[in-house]
Amino acid sequence: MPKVDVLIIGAGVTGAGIARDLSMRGASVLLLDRGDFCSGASGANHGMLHSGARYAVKDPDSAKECATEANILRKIAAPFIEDIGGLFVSLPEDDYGFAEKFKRGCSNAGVDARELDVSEAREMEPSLSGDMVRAFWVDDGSIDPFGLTLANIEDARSKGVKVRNYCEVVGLDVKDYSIEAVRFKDHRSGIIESMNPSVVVNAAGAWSSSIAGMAGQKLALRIDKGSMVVLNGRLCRMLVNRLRLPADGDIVVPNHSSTIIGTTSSGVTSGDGNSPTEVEVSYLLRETAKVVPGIASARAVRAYCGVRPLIPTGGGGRSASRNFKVLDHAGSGIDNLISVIGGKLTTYRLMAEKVSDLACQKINNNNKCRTAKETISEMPVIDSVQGIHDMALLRMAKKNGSAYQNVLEQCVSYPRGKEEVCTCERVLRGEIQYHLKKGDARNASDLVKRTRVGMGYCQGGLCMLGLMSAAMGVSKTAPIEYIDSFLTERNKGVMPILVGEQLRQEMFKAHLLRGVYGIREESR
Amino acid sequence: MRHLDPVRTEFLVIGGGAAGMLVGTYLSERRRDVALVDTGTSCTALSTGCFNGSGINEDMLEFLLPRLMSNGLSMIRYGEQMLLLGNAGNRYRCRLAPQYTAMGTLESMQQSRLAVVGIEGNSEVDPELICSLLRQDAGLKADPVHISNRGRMSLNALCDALNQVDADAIMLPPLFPLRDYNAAMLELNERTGRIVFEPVTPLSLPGLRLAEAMHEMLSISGCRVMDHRRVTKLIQIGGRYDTAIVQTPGTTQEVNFSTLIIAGGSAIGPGLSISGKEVTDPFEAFGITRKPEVQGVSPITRALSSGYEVDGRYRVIMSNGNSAENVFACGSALAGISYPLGKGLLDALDCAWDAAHYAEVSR
Repeated sequence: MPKVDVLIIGAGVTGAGIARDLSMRGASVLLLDRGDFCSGASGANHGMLHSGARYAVKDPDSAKECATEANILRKIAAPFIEDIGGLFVSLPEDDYGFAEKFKRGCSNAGVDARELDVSEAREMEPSLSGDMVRAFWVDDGSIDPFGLTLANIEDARSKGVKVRNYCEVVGLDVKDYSIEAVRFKDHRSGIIESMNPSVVVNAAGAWSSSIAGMAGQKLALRIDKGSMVVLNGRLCRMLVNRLRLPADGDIVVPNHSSTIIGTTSSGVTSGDGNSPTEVEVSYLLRETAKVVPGIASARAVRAYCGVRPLIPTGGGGRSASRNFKVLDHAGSGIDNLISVIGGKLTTYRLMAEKVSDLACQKINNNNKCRTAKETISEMPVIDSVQGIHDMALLRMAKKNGSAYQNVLEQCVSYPRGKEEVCTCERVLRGEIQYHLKKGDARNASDLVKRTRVGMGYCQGGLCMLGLMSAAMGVSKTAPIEYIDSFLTERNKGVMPILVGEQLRQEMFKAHLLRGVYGIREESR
Repeated sequence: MRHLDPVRTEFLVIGGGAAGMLVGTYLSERRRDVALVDTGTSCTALSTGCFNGSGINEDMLEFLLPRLMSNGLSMIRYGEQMLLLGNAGNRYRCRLAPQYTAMGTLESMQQSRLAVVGIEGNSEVDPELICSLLRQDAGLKADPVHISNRGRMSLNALCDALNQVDADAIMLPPLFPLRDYNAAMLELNERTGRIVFEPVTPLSLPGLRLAEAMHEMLSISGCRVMDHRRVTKLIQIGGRYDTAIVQTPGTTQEVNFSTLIIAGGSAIGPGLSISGKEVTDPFEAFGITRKPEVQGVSPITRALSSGYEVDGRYRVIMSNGNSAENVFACGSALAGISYPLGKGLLDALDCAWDAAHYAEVSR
């Protein structure tokens, strides 16, 4: 049976970060995911780089971690971060005195926060409500979780890590208080393979209880669903938070070509089968429009939800800490299993460091963590290219970071590589082909994550034929299956927002794609 | 808002799509006094320009096809074996389609070499995509060909370019508007000695040609066409509707009628209104049939299957459950014509044909 130092289960941002960290310390690593990268919480979040202010009052430890980690990420993952700054804003209906607690909390946690005049705040962010009572500036930003995760994966690969998506762990064979073999099924080939790791890291997020269960371990987890809505266009310049104890409908994040509002919090029993509801969508729209009134007349393009793998505490989802926990199962009978739960996108690097420290200890590797210093990806230099719009180049750079030159090479060298496949997001044909050639992407949804194709205003309503065409000759999957998986995924997000004119447009797209092209039969 | 003088008509038809134009033409040719109000581009113009449907009403076709032909659009009946190719590499079986749309039967296609021609600047036909799908799915021998298009290409230049193509049949993107269509395609077929045909392309010239040919037919019939206007309100006296308020952005006009035929289409276009998630009657007068709202039925399915309900004589059922005496509805404004998806134009035309006959004899 092949051997490896560390086998990591779960290729979200945490698993990817651990793989990179360990590879930098010279360990041999295999990273597996049952689906594509970022298919759990890493792919369904706000894309918010927390300054820590949100947790300053209730959760000072998380606040501190966020403050430190956000500044590290600004240095090591620059292409994926937009330093737009954030505001905390209270309304007449909110507790006036909360601002004092907020100020104190931020100061204690080392989170930079400065109170603004209401007029000063409006000048910085003209989209804010006239009802605003108090306002603070904080150092929030937005971050692209796909870009960040993929860059971690690519960097880890360059350092020898084997990364395989669509490989699902089906069994952990325990012998003498240790996992001797990890059995996993490659969904591409259907073959079950085995690996003998020295250490197993369970970074499966909302699914980590069931992984632990395969080794007979109990892992208590609170799976918490959070829903978000994507609105057409950037409706504000800065990230806008509600100045109150964290609650539903608090956050407005301008991101790429859209604005994401959220979130909600509700306990669910499984990471699978969740979807945003119409009730959540209308609540989020109503609540965020109080702070940014323009939202009331904005067009929702999609809703989605993620599942937070929280550390269970007495209270509900909002009172649960956003801290993370590294669990050494040696104490409960499995010497070489480590689980990691809780945490945030912003603190993923620290989580990876702590997990890697413990894993290295178990394999007697004394090398120190270097991820806080060494960049994952640099913002590339962008020169104009004939036949490609500068905006498309900039977008390509921000999505791909250090891989930019390679992606661009494909666009320029392939005969029709410069053609725009998705005009909303300015995705070029060559970008699609680059990612298909890499072999990780199996369907259109995977390509959406890597390139943002179909993620814009029209939500891939009409550009699917272009995507199919770009996939020709590059992919083994029949293009019609691409469309099918994409439409299924897309419909999940579109259903809760279908009201009025939006419904009319979707009827037309259904008529066109299914009725006219016969691409997919309506199931009901 | 400028008030125009009221007008009077015996029949008022709402909707300038396939259903409305058929009703308008039929009644006008029967020497009735007909006015048709039309908001602009119809769904017919966005369609594939082919006829498909669950049944064939021979009387209707006997009326429609010669009139289309005399306006430049010959529709051919295709047998069960005949295949049409779509610009997504998909295959259609179609009952009637314009001439120069089919290449042949699947068997004949499998024995020929097909060239799929892309013309620079025309994005409707993506040769690589179509060829790859046709090879994969249908086992056809298909090769992509690109023709550059410097300036405006003449028909002669196009003929020369196609003569260079080594294939038995050539798929060409739809290039010619209705007035040139037959002549140009005939010339290309004759001068190249190959089968030159078009794929099925929605939102494109074929749909526009069909709409244009039907519009010609309507105009010739003597129907009064009130273009780019919308009926915003219906007025009733003593339970009988007799007046429509017809508006443009700057004008408003009363149209008095004896009989009204609603053929404004489904909620995909502006024919029916949408309020929240419900399809509603824009005139707030008639009943709308909807699927019950149950778990698992998508809002899209519900909306697509919603529409007016009519009695056995195509009279609209009013909100109070009774049939309106002098108001008829047909086409995809009716519940069940737009859904299930992909039923095609024949069903809409068939019910328009029937509705026109019932309306004709109504008092």
